[in-house]
Amino acid sequence: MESRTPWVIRLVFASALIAFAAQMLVSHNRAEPYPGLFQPRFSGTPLDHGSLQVVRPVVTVAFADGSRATVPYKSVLPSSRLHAIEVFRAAFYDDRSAGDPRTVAWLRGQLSSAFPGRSATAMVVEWNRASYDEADGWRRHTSPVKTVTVRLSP
Amino acid sequence: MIGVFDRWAASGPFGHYDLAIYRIIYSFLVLISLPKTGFVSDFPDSLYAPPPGPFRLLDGVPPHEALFAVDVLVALSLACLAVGFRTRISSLATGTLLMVNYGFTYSFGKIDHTILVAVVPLVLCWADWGRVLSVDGSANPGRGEDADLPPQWPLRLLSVLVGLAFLTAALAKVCSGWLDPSTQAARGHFLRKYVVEGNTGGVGDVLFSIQSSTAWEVADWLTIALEAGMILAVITWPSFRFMIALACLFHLSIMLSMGIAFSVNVIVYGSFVGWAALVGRPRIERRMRIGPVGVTALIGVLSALGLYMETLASPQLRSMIAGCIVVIGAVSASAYLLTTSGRAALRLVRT
Repeated sequence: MESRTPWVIRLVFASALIAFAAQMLVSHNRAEPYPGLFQPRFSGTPLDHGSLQVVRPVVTVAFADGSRATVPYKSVLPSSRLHAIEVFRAAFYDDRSAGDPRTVAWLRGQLSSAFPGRSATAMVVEWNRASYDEADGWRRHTSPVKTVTVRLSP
Repeated sequence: MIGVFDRWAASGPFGHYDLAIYRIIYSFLVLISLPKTGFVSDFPDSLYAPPPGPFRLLDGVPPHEALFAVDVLVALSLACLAVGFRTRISSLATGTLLMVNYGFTYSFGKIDHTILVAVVPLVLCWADWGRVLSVDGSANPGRGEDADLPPQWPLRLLSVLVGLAFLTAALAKVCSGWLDPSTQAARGHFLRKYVVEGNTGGVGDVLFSIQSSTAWEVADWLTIALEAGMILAVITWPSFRFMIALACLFHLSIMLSMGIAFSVNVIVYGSFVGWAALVGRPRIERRMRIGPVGVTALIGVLSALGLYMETLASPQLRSMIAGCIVVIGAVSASAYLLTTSGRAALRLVRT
């Protein structure tokens, strides 16, 4: 039977603990590293004094013929197992990432696949805060947060 | 003190057949749970935002061909692991490639915490889990027949790693107010799924009707007790097995309440099961005798299965497989808890 000398085993366990401490330090000071030994956090609570709040996009595509179409934000993204809202927010919540030429070129391709034969000139993303209040029977109330416009025509 | 640690690390009940049977089960379940990664190349480089770590060395999204090559290698290494061909090399390859495979999909803003399933082969290859029921073992008949146990320290190490991983979840909750009696954080997360996303796992209506803040606060505390208790439970094998059985029931409750089937962890917990006593060693041995042609064919079929899951399998099939794994884990855990508590009660009555 293969056996390891005790000092090797001690070293392996000690290394694991040191690596764990290091990843916690990186996670605290920067962001959660990968690879890293973590489990889902579900930090905090989304419920604030009986109210749930989320920020969600409403996407409108403008076409060269003057028409407009409101589409689900997921339809702009490729089919994937990614958390769609996280990806969409990373791409289109601030003007800088939304205006990145690589994002714009990619979006142009996505929209031409989604709307064959039609030429999209812009995508307008209205970010709204949706509030659901327990006292109000969880009815949804929305208020605008910001609007990001991605110009697609040259 | 060091002597106590050495004895603790080296002690355990796991035999060669326990590990070998688990190796086969692990390989098969991971093969049918392999993630799709090809979609990564459908995103632009501007959206590639990997977390701190080696994936930041890449400037952007890798080409489709590179992702496909990783898919093929993952499936092949898992197939080799299943039949125990070059077990240590295929274990190290499986763990590393799984981390790479998952890592690409975690480079777009969200990490899904499947790391433990990749850690398993990297650790258990040092427990000689390819010694029997394997191509490696058949090249050396008689190995594993000896009465001695395989090295137990890798299983101890794996239990510590599982405990530490859960500790990160417990710490995050404690630091963000889960223990504050006014928060009812579990209810908040459930309501977000139920009210906002309209997405729960079947018992949403029942949970929605529970208004008692005391009941929800108890759920908060129990969640933290489970997650923080895991690292304390590594002290003994019975206590750790008890905690992972509870964790299986916890995963079922999360699936039923929030629609999240965290099946990868259930696969990991299987490493701490005494499989030989459950499955029966002689029957297994008789069925496992296959020649070189059979082994090659088996590797081919298993690789094809893995590749199918990575490229063509529908999300519905994936969800169904994940759900089945969670349910089987919970049923097995319930049986284990009932059996052990029954035995304990019987001992109490006899004394």
